[in-house]
This record gives sequence, C-alpha cells and structure tokens, in this order.
Amino acid sequence: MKKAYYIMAVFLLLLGIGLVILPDREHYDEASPRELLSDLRNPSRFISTDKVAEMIIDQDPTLLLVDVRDMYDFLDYSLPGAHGIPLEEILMYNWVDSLSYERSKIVLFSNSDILADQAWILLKRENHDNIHVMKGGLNCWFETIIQPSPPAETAADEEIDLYQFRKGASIYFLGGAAPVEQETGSQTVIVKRKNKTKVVEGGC
Amino acid sequence: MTGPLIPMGIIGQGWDLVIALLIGMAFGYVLESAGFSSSRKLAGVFYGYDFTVLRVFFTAAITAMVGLLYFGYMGWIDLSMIYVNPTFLIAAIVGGLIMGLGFIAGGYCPGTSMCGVAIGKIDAMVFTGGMFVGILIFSEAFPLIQGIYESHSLGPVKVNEVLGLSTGTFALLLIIVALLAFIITRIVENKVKKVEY
Repeated sequence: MKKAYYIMAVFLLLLGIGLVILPDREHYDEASPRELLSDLRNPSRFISTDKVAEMIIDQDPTLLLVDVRDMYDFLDYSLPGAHGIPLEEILMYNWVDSLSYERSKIVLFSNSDILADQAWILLKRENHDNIHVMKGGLNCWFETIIQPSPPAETAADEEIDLYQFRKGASIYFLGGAAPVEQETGSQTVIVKRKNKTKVVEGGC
Repeated sequence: MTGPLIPMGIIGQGWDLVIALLIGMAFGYVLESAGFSSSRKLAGVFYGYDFTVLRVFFTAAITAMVGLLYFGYMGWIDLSMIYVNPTFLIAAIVGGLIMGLGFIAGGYCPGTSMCGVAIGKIDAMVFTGGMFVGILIFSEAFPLIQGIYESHSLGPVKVNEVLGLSTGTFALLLIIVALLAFIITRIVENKVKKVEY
C-alpha cells in the first residue's frame, strides 16, 4: 500500500482523537449576561422623540423605524416609514440583516417603553448592534411632537427653540399649513416730497 | 458569518435549487471521472473484486463528518440548524432491501445510473427506465403501503444519541471502522481473482 494512505489514515485517526479530547464547547452568538447587564444600565440605548422626528424630517437614510406593537395597532397608526414587526415575531426571521445596512440606526418603539425595551433585550441577546429604543414611545411622541405644550414665558432660549422645532414638526407630521402672522390694520404711506432747490443762475 | 448559509439567510432561499444543480453537476462529473458510471465497478462491491465504491463513499462520509464537527467546534457552522432526515425504521429496512436488490441486479444506484445515461450506456438507460417504473408503482400503490411507510417513526435521531455516545467518541469509532474496512477490503481484493472491465 502506498505510504500516502498510511499518512492519511494516521491523520484521520488523530483528528478523531482530537474530537474525543476536545471539551464540549457551546457557541453563543448572543451577548453574555454580563455584557447585557452593562448595556441595560447604559441609557444610551434611548433616543428622544425629538431626535427621531428630526431624522424623519431630514429623511435620514440610516434610520430604520420598527414598530413592535401588534399588527392591528401598527395598521391603525404608526410613524412614517416604520416597519411593523410585532414582538412575538421579532426573532422569527432574519429581518435585521435583510432590512438594515451596516450603519443603520434601528429604532424600536411601542406605545410606551416596555415592549420596545423587551424587543431591545431580545435583539441585544442576538448580538445586534445599533439598536435603540424611542424614549417614551408613541405616548411621548404625541405629548412632545404632535401636541407640544408651550414653555413658560420665563423659559430658557433652548426650551423655546425646542418648542418652535416641535411646533414645526407637528405641522410636518399632521400635514397642516404653517401659520402666517396676519398684518393688523393698514399703514398709510406718507410721501415726503423734497423741496426743490433753486438752481444757481449764471456765473461760472 | 455562521453556516449553514441558506437556513441562516446568508444566501437567499431562491438559490437553493441553483446551488443543488451546481453541486449535482460537480458530483456527476466526479462520479464519471472516478469510473462510477460502470456497472461492473459498482457490482464489484458485491462480488468482492472491487471495493473502490465503498472506500470512496466511506471516505467522503468520514471527511464530511470530521469537517462538520470541527467547523461546529470553531463556531463556523451551527450544527443544530443542519437538517437531519427523520428515521422510519420499517420503511428504511424494507426500502434498503429493495434498493440493495435493485443495486446488485442492475449494477447501478440512482446517481450513478444518471451518469451512465449521460455517457450513453444502454444498461444505465434500462436501469433508469426501471427506476421510473418503480417510482410510478410506489406512487400509485402509496395508499396501500402508507402504513409501512409511516410506521416506527423515530424522528430525526442520530446514531450516537441512540447508542448513548458523545459525538466525538462516535466519530472516532466510525473512523476506526472505516480504516478497518479499507484494510480488509484491500486484503479481499488481493485474494479475489482480478476481473478485467
């Protein structure tokens, strides 16, 4: 028999012995419990409704909105451009890879934080990155973006600016026309005529 | 990236038939190159003058097994996602007997008969015709044999699970069995009179 056959046989045997000796190794693609705890404590997973509104208005191509409520609620009302993936189906198909790109910012939302946060934990366990939760959910969306309450008169400039932005965003999302300030009363135009100056006659 | 590529969604589901076709063509090419389109070479396993088929398929099986187990260990493939054929015990025994009888009588198995047809062998064409007649009879008689077909369903069991062995131990045992088979068949081949074909 050829020498190569012996070498191959010994090689196969060694590989077989290796399989017996090697310890069982479980592969978790998921985040470890310790990592998950650290991420849970970190509030950076939340993204404000103002930021989401700004990204929608700017038509940010990296934004991927995911409504995790059930389909009835999703069809009833949702954010513009959102995908409806109920919490029960969040792990059913590989939607994260098919819908998002490498640099996508996936923003989960529900009526409040609860469902979206649960979906966030499930996806985090599957080791997906760049997953965020819209802070306060759609309830907060209505309070801040759709029906923003005006700040106090003594409020800081930032608050007033934010209110102005929210008012504008509200108009954008509700499809209304921008309010135009009405002119009060007509002003009379007073024409002032200049006195003719006398031309100096003669002389040089 | 973790395999298997299609169940993991790395390659779209629509590609599976295309990939199957390409692998099938490569398989056919290798079978023909190895001379497996000759019914005499295949029948040699039963008569003891040529065990190439046994050695080739056993080598392929243990190479795939060792490769998959090491890939699983390295985390390159999720072995739990690999489809395992469910076992129907009685159907497997009866089907195995019929298949074996057809194999020894015709000198082909289904794959190699297609190779034979591709290179224009008349015996392979007759064999393939018989295979299609068999498929027709099976399909038409299915209501009568459905009881046998579905009895003793064990589900997707693996041999090592039935024997209560770890995957690694069973793999080592199978490698030893394969190597012993290679040595013994070589000895038998040397003792049996050579057949020219």
